[in-house]
Amino acid sequence: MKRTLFIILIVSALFLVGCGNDSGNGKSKDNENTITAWAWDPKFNIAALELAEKAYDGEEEIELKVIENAQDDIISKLNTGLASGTLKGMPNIVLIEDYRAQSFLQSYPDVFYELTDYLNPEDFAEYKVTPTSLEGKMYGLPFDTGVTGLYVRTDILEEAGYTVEDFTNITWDEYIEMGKDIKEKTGKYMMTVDPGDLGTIRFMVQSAGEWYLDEDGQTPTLANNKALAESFRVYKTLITEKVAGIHTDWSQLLAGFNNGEVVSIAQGSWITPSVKAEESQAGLWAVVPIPRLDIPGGVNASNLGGSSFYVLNTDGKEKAAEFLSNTFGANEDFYQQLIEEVGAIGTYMPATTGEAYKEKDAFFQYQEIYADLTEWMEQIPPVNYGVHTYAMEDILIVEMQNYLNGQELEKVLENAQKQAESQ
Amino acid sequence: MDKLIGKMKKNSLFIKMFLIMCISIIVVSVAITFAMLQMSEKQFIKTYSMTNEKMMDQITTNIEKYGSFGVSVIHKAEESPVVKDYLRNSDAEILTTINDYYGIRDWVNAYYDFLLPYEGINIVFMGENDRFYSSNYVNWPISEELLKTHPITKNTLKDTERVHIQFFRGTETKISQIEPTVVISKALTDANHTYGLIYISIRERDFKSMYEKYVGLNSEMYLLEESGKILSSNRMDLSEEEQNDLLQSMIKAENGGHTELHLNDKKYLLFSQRLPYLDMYLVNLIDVKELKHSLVNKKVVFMISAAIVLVALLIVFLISNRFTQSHSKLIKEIARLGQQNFDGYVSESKNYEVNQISTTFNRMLDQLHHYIEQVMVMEKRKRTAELAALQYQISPHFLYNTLASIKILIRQQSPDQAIQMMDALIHLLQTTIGNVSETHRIEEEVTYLENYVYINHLRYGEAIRVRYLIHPDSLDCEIPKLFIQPFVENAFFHGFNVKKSGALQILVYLKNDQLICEVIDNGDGIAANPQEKRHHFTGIGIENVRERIRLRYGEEFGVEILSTLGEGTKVKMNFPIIKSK
Repeated sequence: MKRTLFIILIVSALFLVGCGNDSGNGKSKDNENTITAWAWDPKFNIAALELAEKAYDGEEEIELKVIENAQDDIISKLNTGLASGTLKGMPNIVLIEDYRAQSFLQSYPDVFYELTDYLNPEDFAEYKVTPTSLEGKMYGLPFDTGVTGLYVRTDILEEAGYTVEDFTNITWDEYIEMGKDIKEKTGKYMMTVDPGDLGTIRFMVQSAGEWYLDEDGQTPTLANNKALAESFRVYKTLITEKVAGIHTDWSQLLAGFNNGEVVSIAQGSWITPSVKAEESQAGLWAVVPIPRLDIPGGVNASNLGGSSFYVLNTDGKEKAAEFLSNTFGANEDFYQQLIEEVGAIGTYMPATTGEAYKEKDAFFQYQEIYADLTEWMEQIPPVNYGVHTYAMEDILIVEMQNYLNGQELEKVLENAQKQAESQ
Repeated sequence: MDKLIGKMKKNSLFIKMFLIMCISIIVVSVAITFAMLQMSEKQFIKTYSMTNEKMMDQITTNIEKYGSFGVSVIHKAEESPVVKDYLRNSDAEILTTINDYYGIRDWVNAYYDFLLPYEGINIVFMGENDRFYSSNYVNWPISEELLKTHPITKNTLKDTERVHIQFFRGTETKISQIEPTVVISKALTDANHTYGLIYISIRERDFKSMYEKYVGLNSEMYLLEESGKILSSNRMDLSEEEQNDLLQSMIKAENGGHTELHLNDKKYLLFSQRLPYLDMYLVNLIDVKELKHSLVNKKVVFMISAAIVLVALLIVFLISNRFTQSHSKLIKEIARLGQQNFDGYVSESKNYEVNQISTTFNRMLDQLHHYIEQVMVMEKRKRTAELAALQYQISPHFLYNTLASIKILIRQQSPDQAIQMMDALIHLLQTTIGNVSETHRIEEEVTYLENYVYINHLRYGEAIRVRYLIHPDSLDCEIPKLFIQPFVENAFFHGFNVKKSGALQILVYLKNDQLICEVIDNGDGIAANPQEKRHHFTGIGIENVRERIRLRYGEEFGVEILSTLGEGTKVKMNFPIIKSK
């Protein structure tokens, strides 16, 4: 009797315990094959990543989760996260602008996963390899090219009595001369610049193989920098001769040429989709190399912007690297799709012989713009962007203001040098 | 089915007990569960309301903090000559424009740090001179074109004195995708002249982060413009009608208090608070049903209760079964004993009460058996006495007559006959008195009858002839003493009252393993009237004879009388065959 009771009690106790335990099993396990990526610009970078996920044909199943963030947010999140020494909550893949890459690579050397074994550096445009490498090791997978081009409205040129050939492989001074004439005849600005963003200066300086910093990527070379001085001079002339108007944000830049108020655009190749967005202007545009600085070493090619993918040293880094290597690092067909579907030009050289690169774009009067841009890309002088691009630029913006207001060029650059050195 | 009902009847005590226990356990546990749920729900909602109000306070603080940042930036902008220059100067000289641009850029950068704790902010200026400044374009990629004609601008210009907070619905333009945004705006005026507007925008998702982390799972948070339009919410899909309902009940609710609201057939608790700083309302809706659901998973509670009830029932079942088992076993045994003439005992039980009953019952059975035995002995003695009395029934009358006849014979000088008669009488008396055993052989009974008949023939003459047909096989069979004689005597003295002469046959034979004795006369006979029959056989006590035979040998033996008026009487007795040793 007692034993029976005891057994009943034990059994019922177990039963109740069993009931209570049920709730513990609902925890969902994160899929091990999921890799996350941080990127900005849904129409460009994120679209490219999503295309890559489709193109991926590696052995392991991979699910890519792209989290959209503004570029500034990514920078600040990375800085806070990495500075605190934890990779918790960090993605597997992060997109970083080339100008900033060295600053991250040098500040947090152990955080990034070396990709040298996953790709062949010689496959990529040389100017992209420099910012994505540190001490001879590749850390970034070069993505889009910021190869610059001068987008011109052929109809307005004709109206003013010029041809596209007149603007091909010229110097900035020639550009300004013709621009003055066109302004007079049509009342339209040749281009717009943002005084708060020295992108124009940036690509001008690089077109002469120079930069704000010495080749070591550390020492400021603002004074006695012929390319920088020439760029400043051209910039000021563009404004004072009323060849260039100003825009203060992206929408004003786009509004300028979309509304037909601007004759040409000197920007990175990523502007192409925005130009094409104004369908009423189809057949009115052509792309030529940007003007060069009239100094020794000045070429008609440069770079503006562009970014690369980096893999963080987190769990799943091998998978993430494998994913990048399988798509952006080796797949030529994928690069054709990138051009066709996203309008993005990669820097993977073996792909440039593909069909899509030879496409004659109706919007640009059947010009082979991708082939042309790629050709110019190869001429971009490689420079070491170093770690302080935007810090230098903050200084330069102030000095540019002084220069525009009448201070001596030499003096403002010396001032800038002093400030940079004291930082 | 019948079997089941029978079984249930046998265990009815157990079933009743178990059913009562069942019902009470279930009722008690259901009642307790419900009472507990009700109480905890009430208590939970009470505490929830309290914490919710605290949460509302916290959110209010957060949003007002943001609002005060915004408002102070606006005030600074109103006072700033740089801002005024940028928005008022006309494009006379491009250098002026650039300098103005640098001016406002520096100014904004100085205050931008002020707003740095918040993500997704953009400060936008729009001037009467068509100048436009967007300090962080990415966060609110609005173009001058779009903003100029937007209701946000129109509303701001309607009341230039006030700071407005409005919702900018997300749209897609040719060049960009604009997310839903919350915009604080104000007209910048100088002596009643509006020279520009300032907008401080924050992406709705970033604005949401100011309250989202405080908002529980089943809770919906709405920030409403003064007009009732939703500024920001963790649930943006309310229709206009629902928004109106929301606004109505919000107005009804006291500031900072809570009320109930029915929306979409759902019951909500509504908490609302006015944020006077920005002229907006903070409304929190809590789905009461979901809230209760999240408090306790009723399913689990009921499952646990059901499990407990089941286990309790199982225990009750086993225990009460055990308790009543001995009881029903006792009843079963008693029923069985009843069928077996109470021959045996009920077994003892471990259960005290049942044991008492069964020992008492056993003792009672013992006594009963004892009494019955006593009665049996008494009865047996009585019977033997009766039998003895019957056996000794040679009536004095018969003896007197016989002795008188002998005297007459002697007087008539017939000594041989007298001696023969005396021999017969002696033999009769010998059989009657001398032998103590109850039975004797047929042979002896027949001799007895021959002597008796001889005496009667000598006395009354031989008008009634007697024939003996005795089967030789039956001669050594035992029968009770003097069982045939009374019927012969009866035939002599009552059977021939009318006819005066006739024949009497005495048959003894074996048939069907039975000993049959028949006394047949062809005398007067009697009517089939049982009353008369009894009367006819008064001296013998037919019933007595029959009873004795049955008592002695069993049901299938006895005496049978067949008689027809005027034709005679036949008495037939049957006995078992018992051979004499």
